[in-house]
Parts: sequence; structure tokens; C-alpha cells
Amino acid sequence: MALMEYKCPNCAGPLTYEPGTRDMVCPYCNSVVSIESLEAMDAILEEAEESESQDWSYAGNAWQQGEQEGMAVYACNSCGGEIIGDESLGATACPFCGNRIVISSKFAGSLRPDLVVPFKLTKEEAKKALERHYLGKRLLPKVFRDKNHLDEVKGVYVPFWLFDAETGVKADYEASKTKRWSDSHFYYTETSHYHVHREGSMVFDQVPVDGSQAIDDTLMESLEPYDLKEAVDFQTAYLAGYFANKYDVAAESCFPRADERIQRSAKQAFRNTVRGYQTVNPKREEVSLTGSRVTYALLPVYLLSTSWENRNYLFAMNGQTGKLVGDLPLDKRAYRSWFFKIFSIAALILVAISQLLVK
Amino acid sequence: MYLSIFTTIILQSASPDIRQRLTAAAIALLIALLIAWIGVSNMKAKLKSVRKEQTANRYIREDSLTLTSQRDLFLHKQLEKRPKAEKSKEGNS
Repeated sequence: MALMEYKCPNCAGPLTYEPGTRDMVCPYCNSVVSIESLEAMDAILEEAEESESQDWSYAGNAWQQGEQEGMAVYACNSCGGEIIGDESLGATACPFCGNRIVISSKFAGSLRPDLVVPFKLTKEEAKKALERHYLGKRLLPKVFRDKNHLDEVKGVYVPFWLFDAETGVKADYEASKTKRWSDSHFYYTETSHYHVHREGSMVFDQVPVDGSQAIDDTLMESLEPYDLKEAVDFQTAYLAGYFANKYDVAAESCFPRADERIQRSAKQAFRNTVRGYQTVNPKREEVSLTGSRVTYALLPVYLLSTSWENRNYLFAMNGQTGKLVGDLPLDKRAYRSWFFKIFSIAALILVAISQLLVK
Repeated sequence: MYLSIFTTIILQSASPDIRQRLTAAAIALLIALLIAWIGVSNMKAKLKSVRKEQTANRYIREDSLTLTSQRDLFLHKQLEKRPKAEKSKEGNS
């Protein structure tokens, strides 16, 4: 199993990707190395990997049958320490020497991502974003906000499938227009009924679906949108200093989720073309995909975890835009207290007004 | 239930003026309850930020929607007539 480390050419310290740049930085001697120059180094390392491929194997001798399923063991190139991880693990840090490691074979051949959106924000910014996330939440337990400490902050490149799709839409609607008037004796309501037909096409670009089983899909959808115009061609150098997983949910399995969202949007967009009516009810809405393409991309996410009252709370921040999401606990006492406060004030004002209005 | 029985008894035994005032106060309290519920529900909703995306609207390519066929076909008309209440005549008689 090939491990890839980016070492500082000056002091051999582990290089880390500098968010928002095209450079890697050595935290020990502050040397800055451009990713372009490392691309050439990548090729050399890949050649070396081929010749050394027999040196790296799953160390499963001591494991019992079946015990190793879904698990992989790697040896750190720097200190020789054993790193045990998930089979989909693509980048990590050695727990013994802290060396940043990229398991390049997880991103080789057909597993190689097409694109990567590099981290733009730092771990510190993620921590600050979490503090801001707590602000203005009156029903958040005070102890959670004041005394809670983060268990872990991890920068992770999450595998995503990006679906491009051309859709053909055929739709029929029942629509009506209503006209009202009156004369000296009657009120009149005239309803005109129409059959409306729409047919056409529309194009969707890069609808993302998370390709990792371990990461909650709803959490990832909450982090959207990513600005995919900033995506660059994949280079393993971007992974240095972060965690990364290769996809473990195939594109075919992810497509139904993208299709569901595309269908809903296409139907909505075509319904919006039916204008000038008081009521519009769909009778038939058919959405077919006439052409589709899939791209494999790694998107940057900070995962922040904390525990409180024996429950784990996971927050995620979009490593590009800084959007942070994560559900927070409810302070039931504060809930009751605020309900009583609002009720008391509203009741006082409304009862006073009601008594003034009654003659 | 007890509250409604109690309210009914009070409303029945009270004078029209007091009855009107009590009804107004009861309505005001109900509205206050509703305001309080909306207020705390709003605060509670702020604690939740993890939601499924329902659509792919932000991924629609700009100006890509093309209509190849559109037809608005008139089917039929329906006319409803409702007589006006003749208040003025009743008032004069």
C-alpha cells in the first residue's frame, strides 16, 4: 500500500497544504513549496511506489479470520509506526510522529478524483465559526455554550459525485382563471378552465451527492453550496495535512438522490412557466434524463465534534465558504421560562387593549 | 374542560357588559398563548440547522430552460350567481 508524504526539502519536516493558496508550508522552518513543483515530485514518487509495492501489505497475520474486514494497516514511512484505518482511508496523520500521510493508491487509476476543491479556511476559523454558531440561540443550554470543549476538529476531504444532467420535461396542467363582479342584485363568479401543456428541456450542472458511507448525507447537503468554479485538477498534495476518504458508495447508488432533486427542480421550473392563472394543478409531469455525466470530486469539510450529557454533537463546516451546520441541544427550562415571559407580556398588552376596545 | 365550564357559567351569570369584557380578555389570552408558542418555536427552530436539500435549483445552468412546445387551451367556462342580501329595504320597513 503506497503512502505518500510531502517532506520539506529544507528540513525534512512534513509539509501541510496552506488553505486558500497553491502552496505547501513546512511548520518547522516555514519553507513554502509550490504545488506545481510537487506535481513533478508526485510522478517520481509514483514510480517509486511501483518498485516498492511489495513492501507494503496488509499486516493481517495476527488477525483472526473475518476480523480484518473493512480494515487496513499501513506503516508510516517516517517512523515505521502502524496506522490502522478504514479501507476507504485516503489521507491521515501518523498517531506516533504526526507525519502527514496520503495513501496515494486510494486515489490512483480509476479511483483518482477528477477535481478537488482545496481548503480555503483554517481549523482556527472553524473553531471561531462554531462559537458564532452558538450566538443568538436563546434556548441553547448555557453550560453547553460556556463550558463545552471541542473533542476534535478534523479537516476532511469528503468524496462527492457531481452529476451533470440534461433533462427533458413533458407536463400537463389543469388551470383556471376567476373573474368576479356584481350588479344591483347579484354577485357573479366566472371560472374559466384551461388545459395547459409544456414541453422542453433544461440542464443541471454538478449536482453533488456524498459518496462516503461514514458521513451523514443530510449533514453534507446542509453544507451546500460549494463554488465548483474554484475546483482544480486533483493533486495528492492538497490532501497533505488533512484526512481524506476514497468513495465507498458507487456513483450508480448515489444517482437516485441526485435524480430526486433534479426531478423536483425541473417540475418546479416548468410549473413556473404557467403564468396568469389563479390555480394550476399538475395532471402529468414527466422528467426524463437525456444525457448525463458524472465527475468524482473531493470537497473540503471541517468536522467538529463535542460531547455533552453522554451525547455526541457533530458540527460540519464547509471548508471553502465557512458555512457551519449542526443541531444544538434544547434547554427545556429556558424553553418554559421564555414561553412564560412572552405569554405574560403579550397577555398584559392584549388584555389591556381588549378592555380599551370594549365599550 | 373545567376551564370551559367555569367560563360558560361566568358568562351566563354575568351582565352583558362584563360578559363582553370577559370574552375580549379570553380572546386576548388565547392570542397571547399563540404568540408565546410561535415565539418559542422560532427560538427552537434556530437550534436546528441540519436539513435535507429538497431541490437542485442552484445547479440549474443559467438560461438553459427551453420550451419546445407550449399550449394553453381553453376548455369551458362556469358562471356562479349569488343573490345580494337586500339590507336597505329590510331596514326601512
